[in-house]
Amino acid sequence: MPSRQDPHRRVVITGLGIVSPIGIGVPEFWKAALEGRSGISAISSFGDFPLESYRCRVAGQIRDFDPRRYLDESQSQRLDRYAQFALVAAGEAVAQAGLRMDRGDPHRVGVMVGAGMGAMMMGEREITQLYQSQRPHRVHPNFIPTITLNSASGLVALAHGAKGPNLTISTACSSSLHAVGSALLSLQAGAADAMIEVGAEAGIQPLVFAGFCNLRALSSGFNETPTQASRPFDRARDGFVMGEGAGALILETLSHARSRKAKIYAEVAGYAGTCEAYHMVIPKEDGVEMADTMTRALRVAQVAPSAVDCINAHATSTRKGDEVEIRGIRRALKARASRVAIHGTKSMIGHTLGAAGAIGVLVGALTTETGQVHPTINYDDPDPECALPGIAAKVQERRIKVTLINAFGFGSNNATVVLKRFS
Amino acid sequence: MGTPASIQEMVINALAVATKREPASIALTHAFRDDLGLNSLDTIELMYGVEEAFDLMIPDADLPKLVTVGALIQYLHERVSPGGSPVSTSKQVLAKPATKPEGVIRPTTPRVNTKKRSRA
Repeated sequence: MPSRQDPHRRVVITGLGIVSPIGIGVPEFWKAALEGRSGISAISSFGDFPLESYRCRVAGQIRDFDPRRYLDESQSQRLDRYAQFALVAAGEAVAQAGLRMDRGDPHRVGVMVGAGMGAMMMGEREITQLYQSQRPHRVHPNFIPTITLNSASGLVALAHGAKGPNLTISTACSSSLHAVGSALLSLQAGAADAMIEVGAEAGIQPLVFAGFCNLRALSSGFNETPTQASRPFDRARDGFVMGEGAGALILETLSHARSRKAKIYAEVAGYAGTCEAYHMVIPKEDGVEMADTMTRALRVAQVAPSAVDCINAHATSTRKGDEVEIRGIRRALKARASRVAIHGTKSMIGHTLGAAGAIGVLVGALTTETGQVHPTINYDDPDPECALPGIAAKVQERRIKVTLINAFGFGSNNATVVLKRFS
Repeated sequence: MGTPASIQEMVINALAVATKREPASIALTHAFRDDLGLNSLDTIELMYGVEEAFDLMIPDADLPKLVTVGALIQYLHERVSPGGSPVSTSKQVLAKPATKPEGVIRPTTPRVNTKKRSRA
């Protein structure tokens, strides 16, 4: 029976959707990713704020996103940019999966969104206007329903009539990987037959951007050469580049997918979420905690470290973050670390914060299905501290049965998801 | 105000508060990380306070050389215009995080041997 808990219930991915700096829609995104195209560009303006007071002036911006092409007039005008991204990506994934609420019980279809910042675009605007104008009666009536962190998960449910569990996970840069894991657990717990999982973020705006600049987390040495700024594992990397966008996945139980004769991209075989309980911003340097997260996820998936073929790394292009992740991979996979293919999607689209995990799983699903490992661009001069033979600046064709996806976030938290080629 | 001595005094007083030490126990040769136990985020907060107090912007590229008390003071002497004084009228060199009492950085459990990095 569908509602009975079964930790061994198999869960598969049957739909994908994406809004990214290198493409809106899976075909456009995947083509650009395999070509190694950079979506990083110079920020042209922050409104009235002087650009030179930002140390970093590049980002993975989605320049050609016109919400009216995808959403109705009201949604285009009123919704925060992150929620618009979420709706567009979810719409593509639902359509691609052929998931229809009128062909089953809509209470068995849930929504799980991961977002780190939420509707900060409207947040910044309204707060600024209130303090400048000192006219509280002009705060927009839609302010509260927009900035509540679950606004996107509510909107996605409304758009599709999904009446099952509806939750938002916010764990900074690992938000939507934890959301994938939580969707998996919900399906195994029998709470739903299908989950629309979305990671969405739109934080390239004056306040949020300044905050990351001043945390000294962003690249600042490539303002004149933006496409070179995001360079995971390369010796010259100097911080991450902020991106924006959304990734969406349809996760469903294998029996549900089979009953619908849905196309299956990959099986979601395992997930682990842990907290280092160490430091809000800094990962534990020896990589032991990251290795532990990967090991736990593999154990849940019943996959030996020696069977891992590919890793979609968190790989943000920060000095220490990349180094510690590779240390963790070496610890978790031992000799296999030198054999696995590793790719860093952020080299092309920047770090989409809360959306990164869902985009990582989307890439992992396509990689597992096709055997094509997209390049990690700007990996020109391998840093000996994080060099592994499986990282490449060009496309790799491999036989891939198991892909790991990593995401790590402020708050000392780590997540790993294991995908298996479906058979 | 504005004399080299006051720059030194401001920096050392700020560090004394941050590290809960007597100002006299802080030497110019002390390294922020290895001797004073500041982690990377503590150091970034210190630089943030310094930027505010002296009205300047410290590029990321300058950070690697600012690892000791003396190096930071020397750097400020070079950056602050001749005869110029810190623009801040207060002696506050410390970051002012929204969640902390004004002007006090309490390094969250100072740790030795941590380098600049981010998990973002």
